[in-house]
Amino acid sequence: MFQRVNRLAIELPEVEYGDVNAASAVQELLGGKFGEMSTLNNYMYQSFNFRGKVKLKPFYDLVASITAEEFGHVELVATTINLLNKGASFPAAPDLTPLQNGKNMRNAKAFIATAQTSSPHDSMGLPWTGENVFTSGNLVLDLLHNFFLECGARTHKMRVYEMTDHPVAREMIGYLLVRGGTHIVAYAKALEMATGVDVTKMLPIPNLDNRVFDAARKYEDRGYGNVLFTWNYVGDYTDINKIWKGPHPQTGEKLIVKEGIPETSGKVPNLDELPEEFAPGIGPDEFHAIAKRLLAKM
Amino acid sequence: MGSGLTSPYYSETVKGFIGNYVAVQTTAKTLHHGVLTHVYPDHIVLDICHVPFFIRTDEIVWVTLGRQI
Repeated sequence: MFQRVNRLAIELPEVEYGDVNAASAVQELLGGKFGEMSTLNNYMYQSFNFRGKVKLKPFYDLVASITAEEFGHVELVATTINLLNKGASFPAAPDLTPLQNGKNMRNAKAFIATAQTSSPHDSMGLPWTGENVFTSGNLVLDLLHNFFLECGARTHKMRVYEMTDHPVAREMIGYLLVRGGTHIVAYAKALEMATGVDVTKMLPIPNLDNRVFDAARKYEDRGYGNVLFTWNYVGDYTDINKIWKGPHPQTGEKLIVKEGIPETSGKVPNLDELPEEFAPGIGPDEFHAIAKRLLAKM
Repeated sequence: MGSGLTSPYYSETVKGFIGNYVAVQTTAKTLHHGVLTHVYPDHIVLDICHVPFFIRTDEIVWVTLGRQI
């Protein structure tokens, strides 16, 4: 089962201007092969399909708890896209062609199908697919896949960071570089527990420290690279501490497991209404009628 | 064809942002963030992580205060 909290993993800056083509690039981090939809669905299906959950509980706990975190990452990237999609159209009567700029943007479909918001597609409009899910059932193979997936995700984040300097995109990528880095080490340590092989010696992949990225530095400093959360307060998934222990292989900091969710979080932004997109498409009279129906006592 | 002749007021207006962290939207549909250090009749100088970028005024669509994170 899953619980949901109406908060974002981090506070995203409120910026008056957008960067619509940057939103297209960030789509790769959402619906691309190495995007958050992939990390989420890989760990989620691996957790559902885990054979031997009792015998290999720490490994099951690891993929199950990271699944919950990845849900929040999908939300964060989708919200980033929504905040970047600002300022491309104007409210006006249809005859004044208020969506004319949409023809010149990389993602014209967003103007037509999603009212300039996110969708589970990559930066070229290719839909995310279940083919991106690897759930072989073999523990070592799935952990190796996850290690590779997180390294690929990191690479893509670094490249998108280099494509745009819009503050919302940079803040999101800075945070996810650090948390993604944590997951890389988590799967490396899980592989070490399962096979005795120390794959942390290969890191970082690519060979550039997170600290080189301005937006990532503050999250490294706050210790987000050393902590894994259990994402619940009922004592589930605590055996991740059998894997996530000892010193961080790169910084030497102590690895810690925290029960529950992070103490700090961000507010979920309220997106602008776009009458030119008919979204949400509820005018004052309709709103009044809806309110009357919602508030009526049956 | 200096833009100081065709849009003389624009440079004067943008001078008000000198020293500030700004966002610059260009006709190439690219967005750049940096500290505005100089404004000339036909170009501006943007300091992006201590590297100067010389942007032609003709290519600027808008300049506004940027949001630094």
